[in-house]
Amino acid sequence: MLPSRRRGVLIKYLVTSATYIYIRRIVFYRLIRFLIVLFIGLTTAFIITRTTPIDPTTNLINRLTASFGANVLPPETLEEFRKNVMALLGVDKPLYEQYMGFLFSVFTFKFGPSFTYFPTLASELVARYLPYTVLLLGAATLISWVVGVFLGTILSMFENRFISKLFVNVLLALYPVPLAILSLSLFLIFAALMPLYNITPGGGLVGGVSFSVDLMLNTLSRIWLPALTIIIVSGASWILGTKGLADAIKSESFVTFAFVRGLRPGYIIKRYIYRNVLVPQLTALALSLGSIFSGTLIVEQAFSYPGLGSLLALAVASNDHTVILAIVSLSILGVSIAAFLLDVLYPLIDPRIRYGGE
Amino acid sequence: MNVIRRHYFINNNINNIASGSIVIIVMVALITPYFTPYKDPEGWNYVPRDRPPSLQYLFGTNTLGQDVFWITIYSLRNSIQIGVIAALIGLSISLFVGVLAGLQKGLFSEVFTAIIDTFNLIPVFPILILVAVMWKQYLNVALVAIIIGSLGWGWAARIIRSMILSLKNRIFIQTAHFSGYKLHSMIFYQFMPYMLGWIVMAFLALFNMAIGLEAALGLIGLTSLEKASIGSTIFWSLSYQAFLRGIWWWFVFPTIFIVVLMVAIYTIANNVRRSLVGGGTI
Repeated sequence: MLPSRRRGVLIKYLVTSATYIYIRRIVFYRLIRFLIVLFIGLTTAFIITRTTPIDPTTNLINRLTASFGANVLPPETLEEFRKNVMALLGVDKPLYEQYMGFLFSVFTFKFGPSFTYFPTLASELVARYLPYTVLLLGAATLISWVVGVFLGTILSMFENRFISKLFVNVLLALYPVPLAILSLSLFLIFAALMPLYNITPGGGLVGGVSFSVDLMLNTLSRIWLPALTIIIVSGASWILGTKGLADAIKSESFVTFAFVRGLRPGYIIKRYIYRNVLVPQLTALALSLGSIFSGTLIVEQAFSYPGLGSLLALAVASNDHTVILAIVSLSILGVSIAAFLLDVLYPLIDPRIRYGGE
Repeated sequence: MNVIRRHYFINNNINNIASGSIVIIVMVALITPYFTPYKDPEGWNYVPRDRPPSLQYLFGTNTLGQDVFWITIYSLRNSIQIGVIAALIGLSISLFVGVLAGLQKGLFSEVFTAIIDTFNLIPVFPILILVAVMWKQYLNVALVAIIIGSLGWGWAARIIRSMILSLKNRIFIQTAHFSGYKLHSMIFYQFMPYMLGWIVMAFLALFNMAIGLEAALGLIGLTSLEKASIGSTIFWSLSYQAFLRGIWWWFVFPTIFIVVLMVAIYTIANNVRRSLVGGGTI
């Protein structure tokens, strides 16, 4: 135990230290916002599944009984069967217990059985497809953000050159094209007209987890076109957004002063503009994670890349409600966790928040 | 009209081309369906299958036995309908939620802000699919538009909220408040003149987003499949493997026109935004 005077100094140091302010002002507030977002999102998903014109349970029971001829079974057995299935899906309990069970299943990553692959759990299916989505999403988002912010700053610096005007106009024409149409057009060009993209079903992706050169090459041959599509669309949005921000920063007086001082343009870009662009673009990244994830699902389905998007389409085609709900709630959970982490990392880049006064 | 043109449109060639193509495409999509030679252009097996583009069938025919020229026009019409309905619904919801979150104080504002945050952060597309799956048997053009419109308004509400928050502290608003303006007349006569240009832009952006989401839903097969639209064109051409069988005209002609429309609308929206004070965020 320290003497009381020095303890006081220590406590005073801790209370005023940057880390403490960071935790109290940033992490705490963001954590509360994260929990609220998660709560509202999951509740919305639950309410949607419970206010439907159709009954998923009856669907499942009908399908199961049809497979072994319901008309030959005695009614008592059928009734018993119905009760068992309802208990398995947990729909015989009161609504608040179902809701609690739903939240519990999201946080423990344990969902009920899939309707299509009946005894297999929905969470197992999701876990099988998840790595491929994470790979595609992570690689494409990282590349498009880094390249987009960098190129946007450069383009804003040299905006009077013919080549940058041309590039910006091409992006302006490309950006509003819907992701589904763009990916199908690229598929038409690179897979149907030119045999450049590997379209073998699955491509040997799902299955073995063992790492080998063969598997990596195979993965690469399946992933490059979906990744390119996401990079084009979201890269265009990062470049255009960054260019707008950089144009605004360029007209500020401190940049003019830097030019008047005779600093090299490269130095001005790096120290004056790029740093000021990074901060708002990181916030934008955290905000747009949800739409990037949605876009990944669309692109995966368009290229039949074996990820969550293809699983979702498969589940929709066979009315597999457990799998759909599992994907929806896990994507809400995953995206809000990622956004929270990005939000918390934010002060590492912006010293104004790290050392900001009260 | 002249004032509006001077204020909202930067008069240049690109703008003229963009607005011209919007007018032409929308007029063609709305008027020509009355002149179709077929009893039901969206019906199956009216013409021979899989014919390439020729003089008789300008854009060719598809595997369902439909004339792609008329499918293109009907898809444009239905997609424009979906876009307009969804954008109107999305705009009303975002205005309602955004204005309430910005103007009110205390718990009320906190709740609405939390809802706006949620709809910004979480991925909307899986939720859209969840809703569409639940209403699968009842999906038609209007219902698809309503579902899309009632989910994709997060970003618009967020910007409206921040606009209201920054306008609220201006002196003219406080003057209006102290001269006894009621809430609704305050919104219409004090806030709206500042927000009108932005609302036009948000409408156009929501329109584009709705058409894109409908196309994406079509990829999964969750749109009104009996009616021609971009989504159902994508669904049917994919399920009959039109790409690998070389029937490119089935997919290419309907999408080219919708893409031209969307790029034109985006250009106009961009120029509206540029002409607003401070890039539309006040």
